[in-house]
Order: sequence, then C-alpha cells, then structure tokens
Amino acid sequence: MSLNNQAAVKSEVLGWQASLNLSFAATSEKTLLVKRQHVGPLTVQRPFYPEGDGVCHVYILHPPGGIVGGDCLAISVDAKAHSHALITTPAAGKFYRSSGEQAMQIVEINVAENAAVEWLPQETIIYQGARLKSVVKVNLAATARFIGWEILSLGRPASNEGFDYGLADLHWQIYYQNKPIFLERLQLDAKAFAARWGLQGFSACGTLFATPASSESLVAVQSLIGDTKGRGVTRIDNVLVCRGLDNRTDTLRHFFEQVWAIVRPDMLQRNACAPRIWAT
Amino acid sequence: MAMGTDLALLRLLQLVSPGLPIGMYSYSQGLERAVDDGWVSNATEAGEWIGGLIDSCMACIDLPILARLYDGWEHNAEERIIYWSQILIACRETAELRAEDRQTGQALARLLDALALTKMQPWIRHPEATLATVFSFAAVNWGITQRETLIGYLWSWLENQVLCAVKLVPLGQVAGQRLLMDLAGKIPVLVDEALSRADADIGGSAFGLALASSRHEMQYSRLFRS
Repeated sequence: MSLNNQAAVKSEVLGWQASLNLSFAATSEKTLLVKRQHVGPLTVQRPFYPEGDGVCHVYILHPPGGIVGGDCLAISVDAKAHSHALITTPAAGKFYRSSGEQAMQIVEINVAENAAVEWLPQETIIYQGARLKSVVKVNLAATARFIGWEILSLGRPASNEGFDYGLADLHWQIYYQNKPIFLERLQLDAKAFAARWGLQGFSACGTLFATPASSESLVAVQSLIGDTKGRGVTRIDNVLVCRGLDNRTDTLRHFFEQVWAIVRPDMLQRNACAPRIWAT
Repeated sequence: MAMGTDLALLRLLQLVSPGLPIGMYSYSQGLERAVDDGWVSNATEAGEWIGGLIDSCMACIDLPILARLYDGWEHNAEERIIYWSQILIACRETAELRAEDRQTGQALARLLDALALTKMQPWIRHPEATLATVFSFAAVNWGITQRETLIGYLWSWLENQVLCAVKLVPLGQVAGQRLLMDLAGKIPVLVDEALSRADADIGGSAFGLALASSRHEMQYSRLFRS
C-alpha cells in the first residue's frame, strides 16, 4: 500500500476526493495484485484465493460507508494478459440525500487479452433526494472476458420512502477493441422511478452484463426466468444483458447470483464461488 | 425557389409515409410485450409509454445523432457517419432493437439504390446502416432541411408506435388520432433541444422499454418482430 498517499483530501467544497488504482497480473501460479495506489478513503483488503487456484478475489473498502453530494470517487482496474480477478465489496454502497451538489463515481475497467474480470459489487442504495453521476466504463481486448452487474435500491421501501426527488445519472459503457458495443444512460428521477416506461415504482432494479456469452447461456437464463415477471434477458452479438425489477433487493440479487452461476462455467470454465462476505 | 422547397416537402412526405416499403409496421419496439404484461392497457397508458420513450430515448439519442449524421452526409464525412452510426447502434438496449434498426436501415438503402441513389449500394449490407444513417442520407440528397429531417423522423416513429398501440391495446381509430395530436405537439421543442444538445449529453435509456423488449424476445406468440 502506498503510504504516502494515505492522507485523505477533504475539502469543504469538494467533499472526499478518493481514488483507487488496481492492477492485476498473471504469474504461472496465480493472479497477483501487482499495484494498488490509493488516495483518500478508498482501499482494498489483502487479496485472497478462495477458489484454491489462481483467481484473485479482492474487496474494495470505502470506510466512510456512504457518498454525499460533492464527493468524487474514482476506481480503475487494469487486468493484464491472462490474469483473472473477482472484485466485490463487503457492504452495500450508499448515496445519501444531497442538499444540491452532485456526487460522482467513476469506474474504469481495462481487460487485456485472455484476461477476465468479474465486477460484482454489492447493491447500491440510492436515498431519496440523492444527486449523483456514476460511470462504469469497460474496455475489452479481443479475447477479454467480463462479467459485471449493477444492483440498485432506490429510496427506503421499508420506511415507505420512494424516490420522489433526486437524480441518478447512471452510465454503462462497454468498448470492445476500442469500438463502442454497449452504451446505456439511465436517468432516474421521480418521473422515471414511477413511470411504466421506467421502474414502475419498483425499488430494486439491476442489470448484469456477461461477455462473451454463448447462445446456450442465453437459453439457460431464459429458462431460469420462465414466467417470472420483471425479468428479461437479451444477447447482443455475444454480450448477454440481463435485467430485473423487484420489490426486494435481496430477491433480485439472488436472481443475479443464479444468472452468474449459469454464465460463469460457460465463460470461465469454473463454477460460481460466492465470496464469503456476501453471506455475512 | 418555391418549386425546390415544394419538392423537398414532397420527398419528406414520401420518406415518412407508413407506405414506405421498409417494413416499419412489423416492429412494435417492445410495446407488444408491454401490452401482454399488462403495463399498457388503455389510451392514457399508451400515451404515457410512447411519450416517455420520446423523452428518454428519442430526444436524447436518435434526434441529436440524426442531426450529426445529416451534417456528416452534407460534408461527405464518412468517418463521422460511421462513428455516429456505431454510437446509435450501441445505444439500442436489446438484440431485437438492434436488428430492427439494421433491417430497416438496410431496407431503406436497398430502396434508395433502386431509386437510382446508387451511393447507397454499399450500405445495403453495412452493419452500421441504421435507419437514421440512411434516412439522413436521403434527406440531404433531396434538399430537406436538417430541422425538417428531425421532425419527419420523429413523426414517422411516433405514427408507427401509435399504429401499433391501436392494433395491440387495442385503441379506437379516433383515440389513436388524439394520441398523435397530443404527442406530436411535443416535437418542435424536442427538435430545438436536440439541435443544441452537446456530444457529452447524448445518451438515454428507458428501463421499462429495455425490459419489455428483452421479454418480447422470449414471448411465446407474437405478431411483431420487436
């Protein structure tokens, strides 16, 4: 860990300015976390290898526990050739109500030839009144593999709170050999939260991406969905995109874990190995 | 120059006609599944659905990109045309929506080629031939203004969606015409906004549309191709 960068930069105006840069590289035995640079309150725990082989599991920690207006978090992940990293978080992310300023979170994931990245953070809770911009940009080399999801929980349904004000500007951008292959920008405000063309008032929504996914995976996910309402899947060229809406975040997350258990063996020749932290 | 502008108007009417043989009538863009799932069951809900798609997708994706494609053809800037066409395709949320855009775009390229606009020949099988790509070529070629190109494109999309709603919900013919009257009223302002939108602000999505279209791909019995 680079100690000289540990001083957190907190300014009255800008909030937390935190960044984390991770690099993974393959050795003959396992994938190593060869670089971790951080500024401010954004760190990783020591990587570990619960699959008994070379796949490197990493938890990203954000000790403040939540993001407020004016905060800016930047994460970059660089998976070098033949490396394989699974990245998750020990707890749900939170965007708190803002008094006006926008919070920013920018994630950039580069996956080199024959490398694989699984980006599986726990859900993100967006409180009513939050204002944020989030960008996840994935750059894939020709033989790169990637599985990622974003699971959102809007408002606090347990306290009967919806999303009557606030704005979440959420971008997902996937590039394959520098060409855009999937660009999505969800702008969630009170209208989009309630509308039938939007979230239909459901407090949980999520999207899972997996590439390259086979047509067999598509069929398997379609049959997993069956007649279940609020679930959908498509395969655009070889990018599988699975979407879901639900009243409960845990139900939706369980569904995406099942989808992950379908695509992972097919894409990465290994069974799903749920990070232990998910169970706690 | 009245004759020039008259002809341009006539060409635009031809280009946006539901009679244009590019198969638009066979695509519902997820509306068939939205009706099947009970999300859209009357004229008010159809208006909300279609209006929401105009605001969250057409106004922030199709229209500003169409304006850039129009500029591209005016300046014969092939690289820019390909670039924006790729962005447009990448913004389509499902396989069916992408297939629709390519199929209608390529069908229009084939038609234009047959109408002696032979510059469209290489676009007949081009993976980047979106409907907006080829539509904007025709518009530039026929002297239709950029603003009217955007108005015409959105009108033809809107009319097709309303025709789908009339068939699927179903709605009466008068209810359908009332929807067209209401929703078309938004078009001029949206076109102004699209013409001044910055590159960085391009992009949008409607979660309900993405979900409905994904679910349409596995709908057991269906009339429409999207």
